[in-house]
Amino acid sequence: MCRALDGDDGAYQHFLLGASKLLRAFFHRKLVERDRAHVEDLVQETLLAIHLHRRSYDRMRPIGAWLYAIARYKLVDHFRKHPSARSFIPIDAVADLFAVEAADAGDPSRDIAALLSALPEKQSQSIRLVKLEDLTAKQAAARMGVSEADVKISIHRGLKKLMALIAKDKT
Amino acid sequence: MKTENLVAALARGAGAQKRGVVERRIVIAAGLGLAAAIGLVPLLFGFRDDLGSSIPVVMLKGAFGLAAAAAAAPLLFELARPNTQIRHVFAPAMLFAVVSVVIAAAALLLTPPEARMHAWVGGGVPECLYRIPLLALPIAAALTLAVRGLGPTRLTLAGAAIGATSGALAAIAYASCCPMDSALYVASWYLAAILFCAAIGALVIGRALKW
Repeated sequence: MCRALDGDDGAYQHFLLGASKLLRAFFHRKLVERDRAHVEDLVQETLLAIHLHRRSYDRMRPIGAWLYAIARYKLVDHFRKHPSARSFIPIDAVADLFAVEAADAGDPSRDIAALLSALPEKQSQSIRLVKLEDLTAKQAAARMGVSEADVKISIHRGLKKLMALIAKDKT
Repeated sequence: MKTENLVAALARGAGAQKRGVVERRIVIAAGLGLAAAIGLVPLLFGFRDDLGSSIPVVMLKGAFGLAAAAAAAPLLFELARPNTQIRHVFAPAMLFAVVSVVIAAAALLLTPPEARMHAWVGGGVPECLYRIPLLALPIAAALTLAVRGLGPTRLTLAGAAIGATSGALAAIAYASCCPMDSALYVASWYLAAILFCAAIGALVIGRALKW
């Protein structure tokens, strides 16, 4: 993560992939059987939150605690919206809690890419060009006819808005 | 969109991040808010009449507010971000509260009994109880905006920390118009006003911080 914050995108991708595995296991463990369809949504939501808040991560601290603090926040949010999803674990099943679950990546029930069209044109286009089509911010800026800084800001705002949309979507 | 595609998309062109964003944002917001609060003093209440001759005592009262802000700041820095280990940052705030209670008690003992009531409440209801929270409003607004983008995860506590910090900073601004100079008054009512701000912050700002 430290290398990622210094600008190593490969390390960042590696970190996010590892994080998504931990998160998947975490949410899988915390949600009851009938609610497991939401696991992948929560994983994606948390990844988005990690991405948007990565600059507030203090490099001197354990990354795991930071990661799980965000995951827990998203989980509590989920429980607040779906009160029936709270899992009460019978005492006999406690052993399951400690089982190492290597849950496979499921399909999310919601498509983040589809939500992009709900964003303002400039934001969704910036995200599409830079994040999905592998252009640099500079190239995207040239194609859209705006400044490079403008593209970067649009991406950040767009992702933020996306997170807000997802939160609203779930009610 | 599959999770691995999302990961790839997020990582693409993510770039480097600046260090110390949390501290910088909070300090800038606090500075702007404090400037606004000081600007509000002459508009709302007017400076005290003898401001010229009372600089030392105003500075002393301002220092009380500054010490309170310094005691609350570590809490705010910690609660503004995810992963909050707050136990070790509670100490300065607790120490400050205890010291000001001790100051108030000492001042109470040193004041002759017949003068105590006047030194404590001045002429009637202590005005700082509502004036400090009023001056804290712009500071709290600026801090709330700054903190919300940083991803706090314990919202009620973060709201209380914002309230306490903005109350403490507002006390600095308020010192320039407060006519009461007894240590008993300052240590008890300023502290009460700051705690009041913290309570309001926990109730109101905690909700505004949701992301």
